[in-house]
Amino acid sequence: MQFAVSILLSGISVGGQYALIAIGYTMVYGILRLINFAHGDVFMVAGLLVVYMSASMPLYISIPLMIVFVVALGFCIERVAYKPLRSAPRMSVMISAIGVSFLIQNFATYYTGGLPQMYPVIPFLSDTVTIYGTSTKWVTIITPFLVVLLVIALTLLINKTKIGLAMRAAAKDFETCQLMGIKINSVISFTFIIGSALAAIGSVLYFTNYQSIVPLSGAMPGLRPSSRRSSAA
Amino acid sequence: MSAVTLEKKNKKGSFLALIGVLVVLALTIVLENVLDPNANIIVFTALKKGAVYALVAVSMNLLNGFTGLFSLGQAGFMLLGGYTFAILTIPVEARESVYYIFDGAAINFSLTESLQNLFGGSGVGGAVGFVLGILVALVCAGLVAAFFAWLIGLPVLKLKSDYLAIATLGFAEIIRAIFQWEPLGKITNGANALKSFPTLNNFNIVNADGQIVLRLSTFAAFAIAGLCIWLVVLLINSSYGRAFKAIREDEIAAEAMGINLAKHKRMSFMISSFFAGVGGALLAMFMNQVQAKTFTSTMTYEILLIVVLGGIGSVSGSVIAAFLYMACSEWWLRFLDVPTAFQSEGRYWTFIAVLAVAAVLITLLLLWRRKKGGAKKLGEMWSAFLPGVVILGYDIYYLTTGSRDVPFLNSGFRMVVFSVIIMVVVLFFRRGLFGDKELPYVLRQIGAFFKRLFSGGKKTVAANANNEKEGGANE
Amino acid sequence: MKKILALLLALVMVFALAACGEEPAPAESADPGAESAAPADGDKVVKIGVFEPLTGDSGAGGKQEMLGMQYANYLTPTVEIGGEEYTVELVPADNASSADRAPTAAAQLVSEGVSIVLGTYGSSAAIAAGPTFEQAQIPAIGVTCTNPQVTEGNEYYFRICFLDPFQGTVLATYSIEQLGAQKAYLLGELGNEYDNGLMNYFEEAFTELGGTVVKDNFPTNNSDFTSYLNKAVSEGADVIFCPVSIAYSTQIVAQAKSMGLGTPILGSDTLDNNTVLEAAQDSSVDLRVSTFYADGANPEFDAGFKEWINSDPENLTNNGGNDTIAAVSVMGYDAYYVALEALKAAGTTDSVAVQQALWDVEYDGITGHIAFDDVNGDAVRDTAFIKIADTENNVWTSGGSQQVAS
Repeated sequence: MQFAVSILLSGISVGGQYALIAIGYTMVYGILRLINFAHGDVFMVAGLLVVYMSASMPLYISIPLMIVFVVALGFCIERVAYKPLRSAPRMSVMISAIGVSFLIQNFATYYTGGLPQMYPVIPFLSDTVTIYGTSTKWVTIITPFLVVLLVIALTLLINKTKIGLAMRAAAKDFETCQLMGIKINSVISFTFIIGSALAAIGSVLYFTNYQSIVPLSGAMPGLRPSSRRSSAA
Repeated sequence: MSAVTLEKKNKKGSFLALIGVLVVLALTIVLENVLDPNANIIVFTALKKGAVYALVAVSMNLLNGFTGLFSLGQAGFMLLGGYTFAILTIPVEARESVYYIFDGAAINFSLTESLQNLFGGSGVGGAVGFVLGILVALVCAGLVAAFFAWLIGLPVLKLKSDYLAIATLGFAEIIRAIFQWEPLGKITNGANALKSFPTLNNFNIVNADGQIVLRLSTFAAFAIAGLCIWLVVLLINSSYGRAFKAIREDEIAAEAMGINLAKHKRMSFMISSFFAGVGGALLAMFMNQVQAKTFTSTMTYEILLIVVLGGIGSVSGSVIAAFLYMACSEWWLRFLDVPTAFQSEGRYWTFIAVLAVAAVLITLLLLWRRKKGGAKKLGEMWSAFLPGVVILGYDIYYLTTGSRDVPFLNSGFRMVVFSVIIMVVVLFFRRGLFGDKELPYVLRQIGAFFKRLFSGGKKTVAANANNEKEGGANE
Repeated sequence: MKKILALLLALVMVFALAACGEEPAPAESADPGAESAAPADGDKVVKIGVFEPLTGDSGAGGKQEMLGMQYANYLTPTVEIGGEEYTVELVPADNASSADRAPTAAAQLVSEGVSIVLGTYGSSAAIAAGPTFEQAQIPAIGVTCTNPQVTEGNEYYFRICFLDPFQGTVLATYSIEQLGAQKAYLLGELGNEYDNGLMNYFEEAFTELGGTVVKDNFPTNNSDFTSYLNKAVSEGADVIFCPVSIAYSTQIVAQAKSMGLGTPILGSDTLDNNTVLEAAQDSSVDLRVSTFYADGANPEFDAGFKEWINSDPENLTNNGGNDTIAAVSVMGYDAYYVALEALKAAGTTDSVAVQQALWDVEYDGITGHIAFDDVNGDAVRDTAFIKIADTENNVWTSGGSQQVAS
């Protein structure tokens, strides 16, 4: 019983965290038909930023600040590495994505020295709770609810707002969309902003659970949803 | 141009290419024996690795560039090739110690040894048997990889684009996990490395005292890789190759022209995997050992990078990109890992000069791109100056401090610079260095460029405009 | 047109960079003293190659190992060889913890003309580079590569640490004798020869002594270990043995902490690392590791090393942000002095002579007496030290030593 509960709990929580990352992937893939390899690394950077910032400022400042930085990072990656290649062959864009991923990983190795960095303890989220004799962190319980909330918000955004309409249109047909006068660049930027923000939130949940961050931390969560996305889409 | 003259030209071209290849091969022998072996070992090690990656990149290009099938299973097929080669050639008496965790191997026979015995043990006969054994083992390595390609091709080749990529990527991961699986340990040695099999160094001819008389290790790598690449080129220029290209351009049209899609796709997939298997075996010979954990998806991405940087659909592009890539990542940039790299006068000034040139170049390239993108006023182009100004700023700051230590040069910085170089190449050569053209075409273009440069004046501008128009039409 | 221009410019840049990397090689051979930053005590320079992973999976361990060598070099920057004073220059080469980059890194060291090589952390890179050193006739001293295959059949690869079979047996004996364990849960990364080798030897010794084991593998890049740990609990294991790399061990320990796990976690030399200790901070986790060096055995060295680490922020970063001494650093430190002994004994910087001298070198280092056997050039060691994590004070405490009759 105890074993089953623990498996169930970790399954639900890991699934939720991957879902947040996968949403970022799917939105970009839907519009640009691009597997954004750098997404997992943005996620890793989000973790590292909290580690470094929390050393000098309280968590209630560093986490929001981290989300802002990560969103800016996602935006810049799109502007610098993907936008100039909009008309290039698809393979080139993908290579650019792999290149960005390499760059971020290598820079993280260079900066951190490659040693695992311990994620700070977040009050409440990191506290232990016991369910049926299995002790786990609060974050495990909260994750599924938070994910459902975020997904509902995102669905509303995509279905009810003007920018959501533009995103859906861009996913259907990129060229016609431009003909219709949709500012395609801002739609794509917006997509990257939302994706990065979700990755940032996901990273808080994920790294509270699995505390150590290495430069390759983003690679695996990054790869898994991409295969999941393919099998689901 | 009539068909006859075209053919003549092609003949002349391939003759020249043959001469070029022979000269390169001869050079590898001469240089490796003339130059001081220890001081220049890095050159030859980088060249050997470049040759191996050139072969693997060409095999990937055959599939991705010429047939238009986007596969990411390269590392898996290389693993199959590497392991097959190792299992077939480890000397019998070494097996006990290699498989020490599993108390000996299940397969107790070595191709090279049995062939050596067949040709009379030692001496010339032994050498012939040894080389023959290695060649047979290489072919077996390729065949095993091709067989697995056929096997997984049955379900997987029905998938399109990204789905095929993810499926083959998954296949590579599965293969890796299977080879690491302990119950297969008697064959694969589980998580442990296979070693003691013949390596490239065994091609060096040794006299009775163990002194090296003639160094042939680089030549061996070049010859095997060169032969395989030549076979791929022959294939590409055959009717099969044209069928592959037709499939790449338009599957429906190709089918309408009577090309059997399933057959040709399978063929391309199997042949590409065959050469990937041979490449994997060569890599095992280069690494002196083979272990499943080396063949990760990162390795596939590296090869894909080489293919795209060289130009999708260009064999010579892949080859040259492979050598440049290896030289950059393994050799030229190594000094960036040491904080005291710029102590000497020469290096110090070169560093300053390189930074300044880089700043100017990047600014120029970015300006040109902005202009092409439609920006007219300087105000719209402000962001183009950012990277250049930052680099130049640091350059001047470094010059004024007078210190020769560069604090940020540290272990790992080489890889950062390397990834930046990759990004720059990807962003400015969106079709790779060669596009889908081959070396002779690019050389002619460069030649024409210099001709125009020196004829000077108004004519240049006109010619440029002309050329650009042509280029546009071509694209 | 512009493309060609850009291509040419790129080529120019690449060659400029290449020239930058190439240029000093001849200059050095002509004027050896000019390059070194150290004050010129003598004009002669002897180069020691540092063959370590500075990036990649085990970059962290490689850097800590190198710190030990750098500290030793800082203390003893010169050596007297054949009556002449030589300045020692450490030449690092990054093998990126991978077998396919190891041969080029090794070749780089050979080209630089080193007399002897130290390293590497991680056995597969050492195995891959072995033949390169052998062919160039340059001896290498393995510092913490514990796989038997590293030195086997290679006359030029030596090592100063104990081997996997020894360590596995030591830990199995320890868990039965000291912890009274009957059932052990073994957890390792799939496809990692270090983990699986140790697990095999542990299993062998443990079952021989009357215990039973449950073995498990997790896939590479796994991050959720709670289900594995829960399995260990539900199997009723008395001890969890996880000889995994630093990144995984921090995860395992941190998750054991959040589970409030009481079962002792037993680790190998890789777990002897301050980041693992930090992960266990303020918890009930009972963490024990075997290591090369007993903490506090040499207070003088400890104090000096800590002071040196704190003197430079660069060192502090490479050590993981604090000044806890990793066993691999101490091993690196000893390896440096063994290399100096070999150079002194050889009386020349010629690598072949150094290799011949190495067989008979004996040295009393911080980690104990070091001597090589004459079969493979492995260190003769019969003691491993056990450390227990004091999670309240965030320090290691000594758990005594453990010997195995060989």
